[in-house]
Amino acid sequence: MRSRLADSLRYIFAQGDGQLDVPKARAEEFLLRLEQQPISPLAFSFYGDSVLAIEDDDIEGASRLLNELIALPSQTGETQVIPLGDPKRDPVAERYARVLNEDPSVPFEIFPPSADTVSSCRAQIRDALALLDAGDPALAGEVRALLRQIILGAGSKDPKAMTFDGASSFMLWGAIIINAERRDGAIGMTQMLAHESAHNLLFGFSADESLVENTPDELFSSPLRKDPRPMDGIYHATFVTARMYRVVRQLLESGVLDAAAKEKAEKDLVENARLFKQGIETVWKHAKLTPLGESVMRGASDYMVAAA
Amino acid sequence: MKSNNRIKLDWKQLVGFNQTQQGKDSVKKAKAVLAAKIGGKPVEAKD
Repeated sequence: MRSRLADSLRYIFAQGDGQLDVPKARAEEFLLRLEQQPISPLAFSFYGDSVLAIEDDDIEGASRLLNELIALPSQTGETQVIPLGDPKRDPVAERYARVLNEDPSVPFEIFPPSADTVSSCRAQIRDALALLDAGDPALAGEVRALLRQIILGAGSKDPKAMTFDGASSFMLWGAIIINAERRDGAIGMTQMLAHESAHNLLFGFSADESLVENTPDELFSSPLRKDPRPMDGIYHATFVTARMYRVVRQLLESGVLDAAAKEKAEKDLVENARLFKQGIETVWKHAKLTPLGESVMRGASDYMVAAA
Repeated sequence: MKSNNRIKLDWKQLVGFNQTQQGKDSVKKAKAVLAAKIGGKPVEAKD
C-alpha cells in the first residue's frame, strides 16, 4: 500500500508539475521515506483530500494538503494506542473525526475519552493481544502488521444520538478508531481487533480494483447495522463477521480461555455465525461481485461452511 | 482558489478511488465508498 501510495503521489506531482506548489526535494525525500518506513495513517486522508481538491480545481488547497502530507513523520513498526484529542482544538483529532463523518447519512460526533476510560481500554487491548498471542498467534501477527494506530475515542452522551463501537476508513489506512467506553472485556476486544483489522485488509485488497459493482444508492439490510447500507458496506460487514467468528473459534479450540471467557465466547460464536448467515445470503443474492470480490468472499464462505 | 489550468488525473493511477465502478466515472463519486466503515456491533439512533 505504501509503495502504491508513493507511485500515485509521484504521478500526481508529475501531472501537477508547474502548478502544484510542493518543493520537489522535500517531496522526493518523503516518497523515499514512505517506501522504506511505516507512515502515519493520516497520509491516506491527506492524499484523498488532495485528489478531491485537484478534481475541484482547487490547486492552492491541494498544494497545502500535499505539503502537510510530506511533512508527516515516519512511524515505528509498533501498533500505537493513542487517545483522541479534542477535535474542537486539535487539528489532528479534527482530521480523524472528519474522516469518520464523511458519510452524510450517518452523522455522529466523536469525543476525547476520559483518562479512566483510556486506562481501562488500554488494559482490554493488552489483555486481548495477550489472548491472541496465546490462542491465535496468526491473527495476532496480522493485527500488528496491519495496524499502526489504535485511536481511542468516545461516543455521544446523548441517548438519542448515533454512537459507534469501532470504525475504519480507507482514508485512514493502518488505523482503527474504537469507542473506549465499550465494556466488552478481552474476548470482545479480540473480536473488535479482528473486525476492524479485517476492514483494513479489505481496503488493501481493493486498493486497485473494486470488490463489488453495485451502486452506492442500492441499499440492503446489514447484519451489523440497523440502517440499510450500500452493498460495499454489506460485503465488508459479512467478511469481518467471518473474521470475528474465526477468532472466537480459534480461542475456544486453543484452550486458553477461563470458564467465564469460554461462556461468553460460546455465545458470541453463535451470534457471529447467525450474523454471517444473514450477510452472506444478501451478498450472494444481490451483490454484483467482481472476480476479486467473489474470490475473497468465497474464501470466507468456504471457511464458515466447513466450520459449521 | 480555482485554477484555470486543470490538472487531469487518470483514475488508474490513484489508490483507493477505483474501489468501485463509480470511481471509474468520477473520483468524487468514489468518495461515498471511501467513507468510513462504522459499526462493530449494531448501532442505531435510539428513539
